[in-house]
Amino acid sequence: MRSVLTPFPETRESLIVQVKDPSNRLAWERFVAIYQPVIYRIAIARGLQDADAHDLTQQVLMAVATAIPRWERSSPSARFHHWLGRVTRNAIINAVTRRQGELATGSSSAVDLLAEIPQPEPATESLVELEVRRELYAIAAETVRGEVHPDTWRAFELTVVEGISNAEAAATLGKTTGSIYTCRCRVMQKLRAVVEKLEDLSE
Amino acid sequence: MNMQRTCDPDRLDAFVRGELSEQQESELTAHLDQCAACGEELERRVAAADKWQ
Repeated sequence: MRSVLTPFPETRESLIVQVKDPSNRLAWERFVAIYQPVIYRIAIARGLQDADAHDLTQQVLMAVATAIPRWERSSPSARFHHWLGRVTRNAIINAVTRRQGELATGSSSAVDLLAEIPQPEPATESLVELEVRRELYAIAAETVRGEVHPDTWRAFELTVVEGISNAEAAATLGKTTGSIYTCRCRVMQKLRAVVEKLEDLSE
Repeated sequence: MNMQRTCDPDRLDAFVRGELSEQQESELTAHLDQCAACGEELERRVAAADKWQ
C-alpha cells in the first residue's frame, strides 16, 4: 500500500514543529503530504539524483516553513493554502534553476529560495501544476479505492488507467457494459469529491 | 413502453447528482447496455462535473 509520507519520515516532524499556530498546523501538515512528493518528482525530472532530490525537497519545505510566521502576522484575510502554494512554487523554481553542485552542498539559504522569481518560468510552473494535480488524484485514489466495491474500482482502473474497452472490461469482470459505465462514473465522482476536499486545505 | 430503451438526459443528470433510486439505477444500467450514446453522454456529464481549478 502506497503512503505519501513514508519516503520522508525525518522531514515531516521537523517541518510540523515550525508551525506554531494550531489552526495553520493541520493545513501545513496536509500541504506537506501533497507537496513533498511533488517537489521530489520535479527535482528528479530536472535531472537530480535521489539524494540531491531529497535534499532539495527538504530545503524547499524548510524555507517555506520559515516564511509561515510572516503569513501569520500580515495576511489574516487571505487563504493560507493559496499563499503557501505561491510561496512553494517560487521556492521550487528558485531551487531547480540553481546548479546541481550548489544544491548538493546545501548552500541555498531559505532567503534565496523564497526570493521573488525574477523571470517567469512557465515550463517549471506547468510541471508544478501537473505534479500537484497528479498527487491530489493519487491521494484521492487511495481513499476512494477503500470506499467502493473492488469490482467497481477495477472497472475504473481497467477502462481509465489501463485504457481497455468497456466490452473487454465487462467480459473480464463478468459485468454488463452498462454497469461498467456507472461504476466508472461513480469512481470519477468520488475522486472529484475527495480532490475538492484536499484542495481546500485550510478546512 | 420499455424504459430500458428510453434515452433520457434528465436521468443522466439525476445519476450525476446521486438522485436515482436503486431501481432507477438498474434501469439506467440496462439502458446503457444497449445505448453507447447515452454511456458517452453520461461520461461527458461526469467529466464536466469533474472540472476543478
